Amino acid sequence: MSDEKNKVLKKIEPVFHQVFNNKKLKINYKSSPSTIKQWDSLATINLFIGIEKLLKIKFNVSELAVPKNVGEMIDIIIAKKN
Amino acid sequence: MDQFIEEKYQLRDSKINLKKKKSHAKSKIKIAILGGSTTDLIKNSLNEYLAMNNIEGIFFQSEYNQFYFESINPSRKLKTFKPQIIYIHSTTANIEEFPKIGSNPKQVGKLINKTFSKYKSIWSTLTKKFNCTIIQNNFEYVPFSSLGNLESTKVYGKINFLTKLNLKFFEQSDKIKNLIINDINLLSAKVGIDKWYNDSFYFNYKYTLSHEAIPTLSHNILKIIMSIIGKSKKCLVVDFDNTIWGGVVGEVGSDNIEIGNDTPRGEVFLRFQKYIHDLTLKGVILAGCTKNDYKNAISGLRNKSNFLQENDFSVIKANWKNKVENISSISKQLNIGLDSIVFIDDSNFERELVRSQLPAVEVPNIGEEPEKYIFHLDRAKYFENISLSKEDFTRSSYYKTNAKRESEKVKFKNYNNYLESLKMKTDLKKFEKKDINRITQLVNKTNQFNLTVKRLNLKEITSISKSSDFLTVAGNLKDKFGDNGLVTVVIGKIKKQTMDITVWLMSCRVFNRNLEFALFDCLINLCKSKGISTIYGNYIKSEKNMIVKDFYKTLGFKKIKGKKGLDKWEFEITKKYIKKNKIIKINNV
Repeated sequence: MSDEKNKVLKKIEPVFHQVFNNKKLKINYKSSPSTIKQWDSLATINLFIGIEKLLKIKFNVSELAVPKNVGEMIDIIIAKKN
Repeated sequence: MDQFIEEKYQLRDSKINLKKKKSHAKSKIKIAILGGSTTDLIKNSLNEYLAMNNIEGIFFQSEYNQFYFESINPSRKLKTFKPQIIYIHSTTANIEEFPKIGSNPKQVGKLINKTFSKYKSIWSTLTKKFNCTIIQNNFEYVPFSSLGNLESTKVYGKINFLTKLNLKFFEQSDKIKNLIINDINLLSAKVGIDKWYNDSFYFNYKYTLSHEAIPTLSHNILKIIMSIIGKSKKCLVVDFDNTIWGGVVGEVGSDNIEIGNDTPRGEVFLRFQKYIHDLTLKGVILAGCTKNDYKNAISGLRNKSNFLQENDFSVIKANWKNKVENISSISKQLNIGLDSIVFIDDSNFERELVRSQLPAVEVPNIGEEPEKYIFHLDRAKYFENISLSKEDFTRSSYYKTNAKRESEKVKFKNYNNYLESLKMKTDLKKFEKKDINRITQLVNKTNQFNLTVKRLNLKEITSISKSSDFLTVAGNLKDKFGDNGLVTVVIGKIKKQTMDITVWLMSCRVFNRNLEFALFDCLINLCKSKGISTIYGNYIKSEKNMIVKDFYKTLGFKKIKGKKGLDKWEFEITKKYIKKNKIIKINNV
């Protein structure tokens, strides 16, 4: 499980780099609007759009409403893929 | 889904935050977005499209869903921002109340008026306070219809209700000149209403359209803005063989080209010709550019099944020179910039050649399937207009009569003799109410003979026309070939015994006809009658107005200041003033 989680993290990391325009940005499960300065509501939307496009998935209303940090985001992605 | 916008804009993606690149933007425009829902992504996407056109967008966004209050009672921030354009992004989600199912027509009528008056007060307050152009969304249809088809037919149906509101918006836009409707009802229909909406984004972030639909929206706004600032295209240059008809006329003969109702392909080309013809009716200048013997090209056009006729074209270049040369000469002959030209050709080779040699010319990739040409041309919205005037409807005839003048010119040894033979007349008048639209159009479109390239909107020009601090002159030019319409405009600011000319421009249609001299004589008379003794002229350098750099010198002005990009000139009016125009008859002043 945590292996899979890590895989997804690595996969979606470039989306964060693109949205925050910073290739060196390290993200982990705890990353959230309170740990990343530029993470505002627009960034959240851009992250979801980027991930949707990258993984060819569509988040529904409740999935978009849930995640408080990157870890929760990944949980939703994994649940969706299974 | 982005197929509804031009190819070059599809490479961009509204999701990415704008990277802060060094801007090469040449002009700036201040846009306030007053939203009835979230607008950040729309702003980003629009900003990027503007940047691709060398325009720097400076934005103000209202707080979430504050479009009404921000309009009725503008914040200090908006006031100090001083928008040039206000975009009101309201949508069907902002309809506070729909008719109850079963309501009678009177109740529904009341509700329509109530909803409409809210928007009417927005427009009138914004116009009063900011004097700027307003771009207003109309309403898109609802995605769900509990009433089924009755949603449209019954007076209490939602679609019936929205349709009536939209009609009222359209009527109002026809009345209030600074109100422009952004037809999102049409955009959402093109995208498909189910794809236009995105529940996840609406319920979580309050976007009333999906992020995939945002480029379509901002592309449409971009085209409206381009039209406002006079950057819509003016001229369509078309190839003939396999572009406006099927087959190569030089090979198959004029009787055998594919055009008309006899074959599916013939019908496809006929539809395309009808579309192009409509463009000419609204004022787009049409030119032909084909590798053919002239005789063959014309015989092709004379095939009775064509919808486009020879005289729909202002110029036809049918020869074996390369198209770069021909398009350059079309541009010179019509006296319009290369950046006003769109070129369509079925041959990828010709397209690439023109694209690489004349980057200012817009060359859409119309593909290889004739039925798609119309789609590629249409979706790009090159020829967007925010209004149409009498001048637009008759424009192509001006260019045609100009061709006649050109051929007449050859008969005369001396240019002055030629000018005399034209028997020109002009009416030089103060700005009159009926001409204000055309004057505004000229002020915002004229690039070459334009001393200051100062742009003014309709409201500003109206108030100048009423003010006693300004001297205004607008003039037409008639000759034996026809009426050129209103073609020249001057605005001077009066200060005691001096007048400062802030606007002087003339349409390229009438260059080298001495109209500017007739106008100056008229200005001198007007100044004398007002006791003005000194006239100041300004030349503000732009990319395209080099032609008038020394205009004031020609008139006998003295240069008093020459700063970077601004030359200031002075002219003392004396009793000895000798009239400069001897050729044009001035009807009245």
